[in-house]
Amino acid sequence: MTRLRLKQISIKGFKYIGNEVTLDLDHDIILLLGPIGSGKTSILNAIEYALFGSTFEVRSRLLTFDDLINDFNDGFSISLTLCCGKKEYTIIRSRKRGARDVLTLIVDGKTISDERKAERYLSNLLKVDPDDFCRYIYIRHGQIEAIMYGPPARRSEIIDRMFGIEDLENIFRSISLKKFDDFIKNLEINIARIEGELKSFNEKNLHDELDLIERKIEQLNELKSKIVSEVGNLESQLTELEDKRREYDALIKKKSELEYFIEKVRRDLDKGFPRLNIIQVEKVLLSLAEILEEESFSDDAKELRGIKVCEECLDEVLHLLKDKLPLLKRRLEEHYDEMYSLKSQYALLESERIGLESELEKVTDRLLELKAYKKSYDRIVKREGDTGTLEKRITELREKIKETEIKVRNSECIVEILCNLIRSFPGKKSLLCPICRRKIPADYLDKLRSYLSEVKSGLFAKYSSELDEMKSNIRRLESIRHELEELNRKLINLKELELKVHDIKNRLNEVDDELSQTHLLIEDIKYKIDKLSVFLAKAEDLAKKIEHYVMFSAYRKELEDAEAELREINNRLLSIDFNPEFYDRIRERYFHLKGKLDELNMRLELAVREKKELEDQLKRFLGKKNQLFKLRKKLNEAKNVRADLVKVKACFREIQSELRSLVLAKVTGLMNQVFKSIYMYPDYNAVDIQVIEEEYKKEDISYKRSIYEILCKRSIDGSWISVAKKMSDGQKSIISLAFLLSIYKLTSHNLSFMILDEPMFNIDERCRGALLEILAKKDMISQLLLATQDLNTIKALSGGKLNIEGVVYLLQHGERGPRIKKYALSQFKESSTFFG
Amino acid sequence: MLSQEIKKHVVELIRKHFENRDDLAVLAIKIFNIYLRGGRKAVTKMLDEIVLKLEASVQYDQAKA
Repeated sequence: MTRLRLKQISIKGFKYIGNEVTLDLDHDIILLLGPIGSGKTSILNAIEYALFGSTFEVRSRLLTFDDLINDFNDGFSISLTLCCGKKEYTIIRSRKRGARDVLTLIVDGKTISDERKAERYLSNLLKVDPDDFCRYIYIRHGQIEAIMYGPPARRSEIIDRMFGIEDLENIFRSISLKKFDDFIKNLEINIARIEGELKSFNEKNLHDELDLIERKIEQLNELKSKIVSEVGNLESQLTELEDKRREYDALIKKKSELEYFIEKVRRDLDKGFPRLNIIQVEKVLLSLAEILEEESFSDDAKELRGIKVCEECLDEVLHLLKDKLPLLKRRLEEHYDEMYSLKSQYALLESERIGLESELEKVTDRLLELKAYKKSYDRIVKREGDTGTLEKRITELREKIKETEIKVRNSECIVEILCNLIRSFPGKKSLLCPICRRKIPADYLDKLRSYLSEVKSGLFAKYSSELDEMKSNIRRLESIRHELEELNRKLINLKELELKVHDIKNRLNEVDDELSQTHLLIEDIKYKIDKLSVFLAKAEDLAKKIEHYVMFSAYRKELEDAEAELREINNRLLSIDFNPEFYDRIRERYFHLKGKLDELNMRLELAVREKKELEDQLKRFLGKKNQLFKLRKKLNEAKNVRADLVKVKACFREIQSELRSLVLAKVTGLMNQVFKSIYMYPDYNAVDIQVIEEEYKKEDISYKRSIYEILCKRSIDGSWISVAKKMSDGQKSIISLAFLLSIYKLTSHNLSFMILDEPMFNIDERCRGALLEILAKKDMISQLLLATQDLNTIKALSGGKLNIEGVVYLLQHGERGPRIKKYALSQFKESSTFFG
Repeated sequence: MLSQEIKKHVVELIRKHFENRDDLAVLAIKIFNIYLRGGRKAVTKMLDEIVLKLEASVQYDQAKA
């Protein structure tokens, strides 16, 4: 049967590969050679993504889909062409950042664009799921190591995964019994608690107590009915007596009130009955009428005069007095008010008069003072003239002074000139006259000089005395003028003051008249007030006497009425036939029975409550019993479910063990065959995988656990050695590869290629050659895609006796993805420049 | 994941294992199928639901009492 081969791949924007890269894969061996980070694994992952739409890292949640997109691209696209004989299948997958995967499948040039259809077609075509693909078709370096390294349980899990039976272990583990155990434990605690509670109940005792309390309630009800009937009888008797009692009480109360009243009135009357003179009353009434008339109450006075005074009409007289006296009182008050108003008016006039007198005195003083000034003024005017005359005289003197001063200045100038002239000839004995040109003798000059000095001194003395006199005259006249002005200013108010004095005197006379009139009015009112006051006192006294007299008369009448009423009450009391002692006895009995009935009701209530409590207790007891029964049922149910789950868990383990034995039987033979072909040394000659059953306890249950042990047969003594414990890393890698190749061979799928990523990391040259020889054999693997950074792998393939058709892609770091060069394997030669 | 071939084989082995206990065979197959559909979480959820049902019935009885 022909299986699928890789033919070509184009990648753009996927992981390290930015720019588009196209590789021809239609060769038996395809070698991707390059340093670390040059994009080898990116190409291998792209193949995986093209086949399944995801990668191992994405499925394991180590990466997201967006992490697969190259950092410099918005998305990626991969186109992978597979072939099967002459038939070609092109899978095109593309994905944008944050968007979903888009698949297009082209089968022999025919496009299947419906994605669901395409996926289904692809799944049927490949006949392998992504997990199986990663188990034995796309082998990573880490996968080879995981088989041999790590704790035994972990290694066993990985081998189980290789066999595809790890899910059975997962199912075993996922059946957790902890919650069941907790539930069962809780139920057991609840059951124990309820059992403890039920122990405190005694069902028989509860029933006995209930019977007892029911009998007690019956007895109490009988007694209660008896008391209720007696209380009813007493109540009807009391109702009948109640009306009589109310009347009796009211009469007794009224009687006692009347007795008290009679006693009091008698006491008051015993103190003495007042006396009253009717004639005196008449006189007072007449006087009252007169006064009322005087005070302008004519109608009231007329009314009073119309009254005929007698003992029977004293009440009316009293009423009239009480009616009229307030009128007089009000009038008296009015008189008082009037008098107070006149008095205040009088006081005001008095104060005004005093004020006027003092003002008059002041004004008179001022007038006298001004008159004295007037005399002085007249005297000065008579002597010196008025201010106009004085002014004229002062002006004349000032002009005279000016003239005199001019004369003095002229004389001074002439004398000075002469003196200067004489002084200009001091050394000459004789001189010529400048005017007549006659000779002037020397003694004449001396005489002239003395004459000039005399003139000068006499002239100056005369003028200066004149000037001084005139100046002193001016000063005197000025002071007189000033004095006159001052007096004139003071005398301006003289006229006004004289008028004011006249007015004040007039007003003073008026005030005096008013004062004497007011005084007369006050005296008149005072007389009226005295008269009214005396009469009012007299009339009020009489009114009191009349009132007293009237009151005592009324008292006597009331006493007679009260005595008559008392007699009537006594008669009624005898007629109603009410015995208060009998009533009290019945009443006492009634309340006694009422109290007893209340007590009985209380006892009955308590008994009923007690009965209810007992019934509740019984109900609770039965409820708990029922609850306990149900809980036990649930407990059994939970235990049964748990037991079933234990059996199911054990079943999955056993099935896992059976499957494992089946797979191991198949794998071990092929694995030995491969191992013998690869391993080129004589120290070990066979491999085997044994299963060791371990017993362990979990959740108090014993389970069996299988641990794989890969053994190798030592040639020298034929003993089986633990590979994990005793063998070297290289030997372990060889055995792991043998194991993986045998699984690849045994599984059924539709892929004829195998992908190995760095599989021969620590395998020596000899074994590597042997391994490549095995891999290159067509019966084992039709097509091999190998990624490595080891040049020795190329050497092993290109050299030696192997005659393999293949291609080498040399990858080197580029700006946006790897730079790739293609070489035929046969032409490839070792060179140090490959990685340069 | 288990291959289709192994899945069928597992079901056969369960039936064989619980030849006389149909109820257990049904339970085991049910758990197996639930695991295949929803993984470990689904199985845990199913078991939790059984416990919750038991607890709810106990609580109902208590409330009724």
